[in-house]
Amino acid sequence: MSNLRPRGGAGPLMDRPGDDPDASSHDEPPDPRHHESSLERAARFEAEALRFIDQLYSAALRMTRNPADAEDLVQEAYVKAFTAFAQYKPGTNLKAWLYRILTNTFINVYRKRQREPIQQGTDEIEDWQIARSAAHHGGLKSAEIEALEHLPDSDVKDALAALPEDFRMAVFYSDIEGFSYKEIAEIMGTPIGTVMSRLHRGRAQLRDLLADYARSRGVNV
Amino acid sequence: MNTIAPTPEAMPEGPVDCREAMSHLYRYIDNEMTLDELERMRTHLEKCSECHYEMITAQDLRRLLRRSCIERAPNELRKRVAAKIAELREEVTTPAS
Repeated sequence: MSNLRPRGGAGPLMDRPGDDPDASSHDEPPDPRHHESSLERAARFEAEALRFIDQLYSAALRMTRNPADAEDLVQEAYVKAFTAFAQYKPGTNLKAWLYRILTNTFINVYRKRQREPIQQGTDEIEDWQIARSAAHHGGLKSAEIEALEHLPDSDVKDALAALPEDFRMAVFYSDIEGFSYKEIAEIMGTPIGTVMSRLHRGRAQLRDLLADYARSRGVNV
Repeated sequence: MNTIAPTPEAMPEGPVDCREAMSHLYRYIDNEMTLDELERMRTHLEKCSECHYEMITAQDLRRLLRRSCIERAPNELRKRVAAKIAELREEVTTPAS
């Protein structure tokens, strides 16, 4: 399953111990993987993993930016997840585990064949905290975002789609899926600091883009 | 490429000023602060209407994204994936002859 390994070499999401420091104590519930048959494991996969299909499809759409590729990507990720399910440790974060497989499938299969040039955000640090500080009281204001609520969903999706891929997915995982920085770092295979940098840059760019969309629709921002 | 420390840096000790509040705004709205940091951040946000407004703006942006970008998988896809998994299950549970 080398194609499921994290690209950044970060700690593997699969089969890692839970966050609870006592997770390995004898109070731990028995791991079903130790006694279940492959039929039981398959049934467990169907019961537990398939219900995340809406979330995985949302993420796949953000990655591929077209529904046909998104559907293929989700199916392929589920096939890989099924095959690798014995490596998933019950009780750990299944949704994050599935997202990680989706991400790696996208990187290994779909991104290579996408026709558009890959837009990657730069992860260089460039003092984003200071840049953010300098933007204090600048940019789009809350009242203006309220005005943006009149924008059609398609504009918001287009603005998100226009972000460089790494920024776009960090914003998606945080703002839409509500993952913690640590979980996003595991899904994206990067250090937490990189996640924070991508979030800052992605959100800042998104605010600028949304302001452009609003202006082009005659909304005064 | 990744030269940043792998853990988020804590806010410096003591009262929070505008610059620190803006540097750590996302850690605040993303629920990534320690209790001590949260308290100090809240104290600043209560006093500073401009920083408070920035915080509300950041939350509004998230609300807008959630409104627009949550999708439902097409039924066709649900069926396709369920069928594919059922097929794979057959393969693993049927011993090769």
